[in-house]
Amino acid sequence: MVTLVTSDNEKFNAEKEVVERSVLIKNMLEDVGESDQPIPLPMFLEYCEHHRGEPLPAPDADTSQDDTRKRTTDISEWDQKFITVDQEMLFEIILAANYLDIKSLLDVGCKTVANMIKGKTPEEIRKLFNIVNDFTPRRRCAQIKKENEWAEDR
Amino acid sequence: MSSFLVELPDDVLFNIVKFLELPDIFSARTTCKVFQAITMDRHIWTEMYKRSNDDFLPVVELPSQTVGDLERLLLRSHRLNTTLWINHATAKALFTQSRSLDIRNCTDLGLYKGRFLVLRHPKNAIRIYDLQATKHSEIFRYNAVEGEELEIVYNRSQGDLINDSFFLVFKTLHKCTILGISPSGVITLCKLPDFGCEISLNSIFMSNEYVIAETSNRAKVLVASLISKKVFTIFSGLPPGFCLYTVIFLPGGYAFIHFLPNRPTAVHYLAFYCLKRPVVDGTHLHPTHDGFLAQNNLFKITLLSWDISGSTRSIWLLTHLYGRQVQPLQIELRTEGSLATRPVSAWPVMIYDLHMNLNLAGGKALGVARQRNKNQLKEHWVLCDIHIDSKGEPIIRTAKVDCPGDCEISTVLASVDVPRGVMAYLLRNKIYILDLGV
Repeated sequence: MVTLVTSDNEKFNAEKEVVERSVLIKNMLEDVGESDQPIPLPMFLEYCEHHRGEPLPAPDADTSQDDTRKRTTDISEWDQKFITVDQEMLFEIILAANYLDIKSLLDVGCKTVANMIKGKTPEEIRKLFNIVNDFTPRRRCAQIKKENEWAEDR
Repeated sequence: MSSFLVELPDDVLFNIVKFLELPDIFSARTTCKVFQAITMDRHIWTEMYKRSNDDFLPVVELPSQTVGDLERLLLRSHRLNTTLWINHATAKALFTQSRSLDIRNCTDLGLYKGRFLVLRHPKNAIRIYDLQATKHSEIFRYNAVEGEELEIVYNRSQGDLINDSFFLVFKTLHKCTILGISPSGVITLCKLPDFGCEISLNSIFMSNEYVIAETSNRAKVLVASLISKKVFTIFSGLPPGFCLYTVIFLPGGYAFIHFLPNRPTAVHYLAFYCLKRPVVDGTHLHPTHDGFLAQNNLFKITLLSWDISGSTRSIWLLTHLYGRQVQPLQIELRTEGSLATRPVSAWPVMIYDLHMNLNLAGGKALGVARQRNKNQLKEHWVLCDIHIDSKGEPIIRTAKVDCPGDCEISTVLASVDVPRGVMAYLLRNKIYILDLGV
């Protein structure tokens, strides 16, 4: 059993096997060894609980082979539900997954963002993610020209 | 409020871009500088290349490729792959609609913008249908008067794309009428401009901008602009003993003219013209055909494909001998206007025939391949993609195109809207429309 503490001092107990989905925590646990020291953590227990027992991806595994065919749309139903949150939360989850090094969760988050981008025009993408078009007008012209070049290069 | 997305660390953004499809990467690139930088990163493209399982992706040495090279390769193969995606849903929808069309005994078929279907009926009537309209899809009907013979001479969008209109020419005994459809469906009828000399109605070739016609006494060929409605060149450059046989218009005001010899034993003559300027070049056809020509005089050239928008400026001509394997000819347009030609001997596929006008722009061509299977001759459409590798050698990839209707190609009337790649074909009194998605 490991005790995890969030930034606002809430404590959670979880099995070691569950939280080891995060490479960061796994490394931390290895570093501190067998001890009762609490480890800080936000809300990922739910995610890790759900995916317990699933094989962990080998570190630095070449996932490109698997990823080739089933790129963006293959988010499992449970993950889909889990990740259906507002944008702010979505990006926090992504950031935390990145920090905690939970590859599977990071991929779910990134796939969700990728799915949101998919099939949209640049203007629609800007609107959706509140992106400011920071190209100067001249650059913008060149950019549009470049865009059209792609369209014409047939 | 700032964007959460672009504030993500670069490695996370990489991870997101990794899950995008090719067109989305280009969309993302133009949103802001952050995404521009991310999507220009070499890692993205090497990874895209490695994971791509497109059949059309050539094998390259990755380190020797620039990011731009990789982008081009991937985009090209992506386009080709999506090209092969036949839109069955569309085909079905239009097919249902086509039941209301009177297509019995239709003898000629043309398609413009994937929307306007032009049919010619044997009793000399031309009908035009708007396939996108919900009801009453017939938008135009022309019935020939007695003695009038209607023949559709369509070059579709083969010529300069300035006007991007579709022209039909009605050939009649004494006059020539042009029917034009604008992209929005406005139909205009007008007589051919007065050329100041009598032209042979059997030898008129039109693009959207130019008319090339032979004079009735076969002494001269004239080139006229439909836009200025003026004859601006008359050349007597017709080699003695030759007549105008085929004209292939290319974008940019270029044209190939195939002259047919009057004597069956003579060699055909192929000339290349820049229609805005005097004659650029003329070249004899590949001499290896001569022996055969002498016996049969069955010979035809077809534009296989062109790619003069990019830096390669290559044109592929198919020199086609009936019933024999085709011999493609690669013609390179040099910047100063001259041509370099060479036969392509290492053509990897046997393409039996390319229906007139079934070529698609940008190095793609649609053709018919024949296959002998247990003494049964099978034909199918093939889509070719031709491009030139770094050594200047052509790389040709082909893929079978599955057409609904199990069509016997040789008997099918087909029309491809160049360069949009929408194809209509008539089979057993049904019209199928395929969106080749080019």
